[in-house]
Amino acid sequence: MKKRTFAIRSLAAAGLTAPGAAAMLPPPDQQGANQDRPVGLYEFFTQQHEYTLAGHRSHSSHSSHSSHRSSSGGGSYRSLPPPPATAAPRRTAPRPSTSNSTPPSSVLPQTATPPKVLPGNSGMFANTVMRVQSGLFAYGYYTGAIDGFMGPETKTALMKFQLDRGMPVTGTITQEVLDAFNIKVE
Amino acid sequence: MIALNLPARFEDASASPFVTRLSRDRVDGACLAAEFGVSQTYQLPGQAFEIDVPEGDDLIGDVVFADPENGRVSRWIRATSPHNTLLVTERCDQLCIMCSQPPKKSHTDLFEHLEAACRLAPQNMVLGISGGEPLLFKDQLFSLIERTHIARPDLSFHVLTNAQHFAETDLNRLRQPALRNVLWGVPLYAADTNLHDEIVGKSGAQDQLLEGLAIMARAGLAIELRTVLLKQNYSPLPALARLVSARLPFIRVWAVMQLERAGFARNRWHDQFIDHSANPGVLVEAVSLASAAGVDVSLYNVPYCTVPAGLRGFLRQSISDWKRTYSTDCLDCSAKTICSGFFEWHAELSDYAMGAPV
Repeated sequence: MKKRTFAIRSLAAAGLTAPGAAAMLPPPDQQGANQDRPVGLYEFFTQQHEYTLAGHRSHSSHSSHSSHRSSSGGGSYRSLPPPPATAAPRRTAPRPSTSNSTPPSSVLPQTATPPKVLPGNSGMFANTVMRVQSGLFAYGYYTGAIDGFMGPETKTALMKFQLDRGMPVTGTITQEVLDAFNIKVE
Repeated sequence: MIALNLPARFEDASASPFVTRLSRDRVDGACLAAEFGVSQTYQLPGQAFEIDVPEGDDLIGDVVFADPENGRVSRWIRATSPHNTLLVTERCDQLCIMCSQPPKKSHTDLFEHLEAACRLAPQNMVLGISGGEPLLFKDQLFSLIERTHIARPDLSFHVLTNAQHFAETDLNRLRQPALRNVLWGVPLYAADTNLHDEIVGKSGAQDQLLEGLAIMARAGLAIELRTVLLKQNYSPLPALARLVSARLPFIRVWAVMQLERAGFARNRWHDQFIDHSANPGVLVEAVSLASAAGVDVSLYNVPYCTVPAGLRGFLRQSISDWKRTYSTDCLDCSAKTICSGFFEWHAELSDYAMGAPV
């Protein structure tokens, strides 16, 4: 029972529960104040991370991803530099110089207006996969659907990305992958 | 000891339990999608779950039973292990004094999930089926084995049963290839009716068991007769050897094994554990009698150094890998690679009079 409550909270922290469920949960600032809780992967991503994938943050909803599929390249992600021809430093996008500094407010998650519930996808992990897929798409490695599912196409794209960047080629989301797309962990 | 039940954090904790195979790149199971240190996240349509991988272990290829509500992943079939056992029920109609897996009254019907797991098993695997008493759910068990035999003829089963639920009416079904392909492990503890019944906690058990064995013999089933050594049955072991030789010559193998320090035997250890090496003559006599009569005898969970040289050819290294261990005294022993070792919860080497590194 404890686990269950925990899991739902972590999803809620991402603003990804069903609208009706929000009433059962404490407001976000109360959750943040509770320091003693164990931190799971999903919370890890949502609460301790500062997402600096600025192009994404500006979207009010991920429904705009549907248009990405038909776009011809990564042009819509102007905030990201084009992929380097050879192995490059892992972190290409701007990031704060020290871990304790406060990033510009434009790149912080907008806690006041949590993202809308994504239809058919209530999972925070799927959301993370979407961010990685979007990053791969922006860098020209991936042309499939931004569906939040680590299918073979995503894995292949990710492996190629990892290879080009001199990362361990795992075909899975790793810390290096999050760093490369500036899905940043503090 | 290898962890078989792992805590897991599920994205959709309200989902029903399901069976899946953990894989690195196959899309027909739960696919490894993220790795952070020891934590692995597997994803499948509509669900993702995170497990902390035990040190030195590998989950890839395992067939697991995922239980989101209880936040648990059970490794039902480990890909790299030759010792996988599926528990079909925790209910039993006996109450053996040394039971390593004491029964419960409740029964959760997992047959559907068990069958799904069998279909995902690695090629040519031997799957153990245990309980409880699996044949309390005879029809479901037979159906599981029969359907799996059609879908996966490469697999075979080893079923542990008290053999008291076979009936004449089962003969036709038992003679079909699916059930003939099973190795049936059947415990018999003593030639003396009362002693056997006392050990299994059920009067009339031995009579019923011998009738069951007769039916199994008529169906041509492969039987592994199993005897656990106890203080209670050690000295009359030669009598059991004579019974096996005279009345049960049709068995495939007689497996004689040392006690597992688990379940009921844990607290009753000093009343039940028998150091055969303090009086090896009994074991030698029993094994020689049966062996001379043409019975294939195997000694399980008996450390190499604890038997006279004449019995060493009968030792089998067959304790389930997740239960096997060696005593600290065994570190430099040269016989380690041929020794069956100890059950995780078994005696120390010093519990045996003859025990000493080779």
